[in-house]
Amino acid sequence: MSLPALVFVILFIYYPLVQMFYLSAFRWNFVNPNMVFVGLENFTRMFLNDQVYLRSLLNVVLLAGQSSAIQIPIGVALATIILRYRRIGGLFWAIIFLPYVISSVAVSLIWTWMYNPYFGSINVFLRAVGLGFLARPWLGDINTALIAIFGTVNWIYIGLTTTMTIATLKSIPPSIFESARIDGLSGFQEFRKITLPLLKELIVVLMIIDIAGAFKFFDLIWVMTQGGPSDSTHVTTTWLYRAAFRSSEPGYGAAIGVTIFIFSFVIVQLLIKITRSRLTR
Amino acid sequence: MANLQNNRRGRRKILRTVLIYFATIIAVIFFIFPIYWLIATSLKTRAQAFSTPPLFVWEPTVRNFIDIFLKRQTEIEAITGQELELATGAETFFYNSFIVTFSSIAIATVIGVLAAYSFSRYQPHGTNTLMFFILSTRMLPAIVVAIPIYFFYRSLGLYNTHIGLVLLYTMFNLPFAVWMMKSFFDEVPRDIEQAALVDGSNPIKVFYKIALPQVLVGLGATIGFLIINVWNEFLFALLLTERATRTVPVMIAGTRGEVGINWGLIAAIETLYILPALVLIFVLQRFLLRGMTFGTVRGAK
Repeated sequence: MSLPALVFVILFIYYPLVQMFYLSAFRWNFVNPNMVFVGLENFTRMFLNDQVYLRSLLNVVLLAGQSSAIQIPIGVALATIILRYRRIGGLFWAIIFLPYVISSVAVSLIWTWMYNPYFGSINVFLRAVGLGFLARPWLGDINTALIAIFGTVNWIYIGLTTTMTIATLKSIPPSIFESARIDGLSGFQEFRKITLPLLKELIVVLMIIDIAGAFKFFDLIWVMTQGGPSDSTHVTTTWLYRAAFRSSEPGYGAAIGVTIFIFSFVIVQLLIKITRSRLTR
Repeated sequence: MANLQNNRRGRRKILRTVLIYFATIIAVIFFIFPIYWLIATSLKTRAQAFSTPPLFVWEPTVRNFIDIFLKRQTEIEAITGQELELATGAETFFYNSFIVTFSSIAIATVIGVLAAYSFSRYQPHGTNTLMFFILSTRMLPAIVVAIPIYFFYRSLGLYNTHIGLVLLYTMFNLPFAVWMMKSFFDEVPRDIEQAALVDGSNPIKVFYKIALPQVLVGLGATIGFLIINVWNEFLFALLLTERATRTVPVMIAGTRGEVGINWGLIAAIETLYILPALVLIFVLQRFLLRGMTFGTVRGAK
């Protein structure tokens, strides 16, 4: 009964994956489909001559780093609050989770409007409270575009981090908290003595997920900036898309895809190694 | 003395409660405001949408929701002064999104439930490896197969067809369907099924008469999450569709939120587009942990 599932996986994952490694050794374009074998030239070009590719790698690292640094502490704090105040907690949880489930394209457009230099809510707000000098074209300014994108990223993913933390905290038997309260531990002590140690593994898992997620990231940047201004906000996926389908260099795009695959594969293996015992339970 | 201490403790407690409520309200505003602003814009006229300072009190209009379906492109261009891809009205894009979502989920659910049941009950040789393999395909970035799939689709004539997207989305969602449904099947005791099998019942009959009815709620939750996934997919819809098969996200991404475009119209399309997910998340709240953490953290099944 599991055979149809396997057929799908092989046809849509395995076959294309092998194909991509093959394509990465060629150069051709959509106008002239004569494929020229170039060996590893696409890869040497990528790492030695392609400043935007290197920049996109850096952006992936920045994206993963800032996601871990900002989303994990806030997510843990919110999860603790939600579990402690259950009456309003459930509704609050659903609300902070909303941004994650609505379409990333819709979210990107909403925030593109909010960052709009003339009518965007953010500049309007800054002017209203007398901070008009801070108003700027957030996504059009090379100094702020990436930060503006990160702001939206955090808005989307804090809900997911919170949810992951809630799952972990819920695995703690409630009796532990009860006896802690009887022993007179304060909320903060309770957090430090019981919750934090249990969160250590979670934090490692979340960081790996953030890195893997940064290599998957596409929709938001493609809609908000298309990698601009001056190619400063590209991540590897958007640069792949641009190279393959806009600059008509599918072979080069495939080579970028190979690097994304290798990086992600290593990261996912790491994640699986940590979680395997539970995955295959 | 004790009284005083109690008083102080009480006051501190009140202060802390006030602080937590305050922080909660700020957080709620932060998370809700952009969504509120979208829905508010969809209920404004063009002039109201662009007014500075922004309007917080206005007479709402549903004009935009009518216009996106009834106005033809020429009229919209006359209003907005810009070319907008609404040549056949927004219903085409919603129709495309709907067809693709519905069909791929129907296929993924049938195949996924069968696979999940066999993994859960019969544990064929290598079940663990298979589950793990299915899961890892989900965690790898889909874009790495974009280029081969594009050429594959071009050569097979699947490019710019509904069926092409349906097959692809079926694939992307199978791992999730299998994983999720296996966790629901695992929770159902198998005694009755085993008794029926011993009595000589047909295994297929046992599956749909005994096992399936017990996981109907789980099946509903699984389908709910699949709807969210497929309805929101952007990358491959962007890559593999043209005007005739374009789905809603590709259409709205095409507007890029530029000034001059009538934000109210786009906001109306976006509002309708995010509505299913908004409703589903409150319905599915009970299953959030299982549906979203996907076995990666402790405590999530």
